[in-house]
Amino acid sequence: MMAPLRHALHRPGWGRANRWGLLALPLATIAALAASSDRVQLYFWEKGLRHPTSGVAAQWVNFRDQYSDSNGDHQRLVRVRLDAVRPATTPWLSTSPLQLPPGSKAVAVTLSLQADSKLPLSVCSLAIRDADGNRYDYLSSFGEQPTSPCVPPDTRGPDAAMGEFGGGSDPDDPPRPAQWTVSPVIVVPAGVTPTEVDLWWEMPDYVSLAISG
Amino acid sequence: MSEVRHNSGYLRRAGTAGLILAALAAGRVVTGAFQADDSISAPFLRAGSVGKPVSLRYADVTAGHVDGSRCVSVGTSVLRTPGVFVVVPLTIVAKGKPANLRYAALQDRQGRTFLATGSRSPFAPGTSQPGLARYASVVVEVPPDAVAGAHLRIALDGLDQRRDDMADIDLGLTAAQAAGWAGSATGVSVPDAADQPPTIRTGRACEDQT
Repeated sequence: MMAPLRHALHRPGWGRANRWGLLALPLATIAALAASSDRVQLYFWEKGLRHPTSGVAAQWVNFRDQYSDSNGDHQRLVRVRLDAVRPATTPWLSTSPLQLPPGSKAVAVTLSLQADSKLPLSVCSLAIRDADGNRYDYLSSFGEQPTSPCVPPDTRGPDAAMGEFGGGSDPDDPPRPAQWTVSPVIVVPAGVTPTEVDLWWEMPDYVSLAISG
Repeated sequence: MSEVRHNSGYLRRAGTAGLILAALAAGRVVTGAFQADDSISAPFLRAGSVGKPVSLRYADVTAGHVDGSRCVSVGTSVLRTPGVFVVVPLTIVAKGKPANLRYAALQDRQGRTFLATGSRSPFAPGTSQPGLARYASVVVEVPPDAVAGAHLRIALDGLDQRRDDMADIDLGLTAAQAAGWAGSATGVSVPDAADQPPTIRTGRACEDQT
């Protein structure tokens, strides 16, 4: 492979006349790919759950990612434990029976979380997956449940600071406890067996918790 | 002698540069003339008809019995038009992960596109969970001459439909239906999007609706 190239570079003729262009070609290709690589980041990497922090049920998992608000960039450090995944007949924090869509069932996901009470956490997403990788999200509209599946509805903690547009902490709000438990309910097709619970604040980072048994 | 060779070298290089520029210009003309840019970024149309599921990358979409009138009731609002409202019930079943379809439009035979957006032509199906049917309606306000032969187009992203699946459903509508709807005295009652199949509601007379 190298010998014909070396020969072309050293013999008089087209290869020699264009040797610098030929040598620059791979660099130009790499530069062109690098110049458009932000699209991979914007349109692919950040649009899906790509980077898991994995754990199993009944064990604490340390999750760390980053977020930005009007005060700058910050670390988000949360400890999460999957306590149970059980069939449900009522929505989270309600005693009214669920109106299930045809061919569906409801599953309650009980999670315990630990985090600094000053950390904004309420804007999060929760989902369960089946063995085929299908993802079923927590939808607060189902059964009129609390908007956020990962904080106590009465002590949500602060929102991310948005400068003059709001956010931050309200001094009148009671602080979020250092540890709390949530049990949001997710609707899935009747034949689905949940195998994994996913929790995330901003893609692509997420907590992936395997459901044992 | 050497000056002649020197000049011919310059001429040859200038000629090469000219040929490269001409090739680039010709390529631009060809792509512009044949609208290659549009076809490269065009959505992938998946043809279908009323009552048959259209399989898209992110969901199966089925259009039901199409109705129309010069007035519709949507939620608590009653809408009237000098044209017609075309109402298409949809059944949406997401694939793999939840989907919230945000693009719906009617395209007529003349190539005109009428978007289902805003309060007068609403389309808000909400999020569909994979494997579970979501029932919603598309309402589009159009002039009567846009009805015959119109196709319904459905896609995932409300702002950017490039290089992704788009349902293209022939609604099988005729000019006679358009004329009937334009002169209809009975309105169409549009059910809210839900996880349960909608119950049939008889539309009330347009004049009775307040």
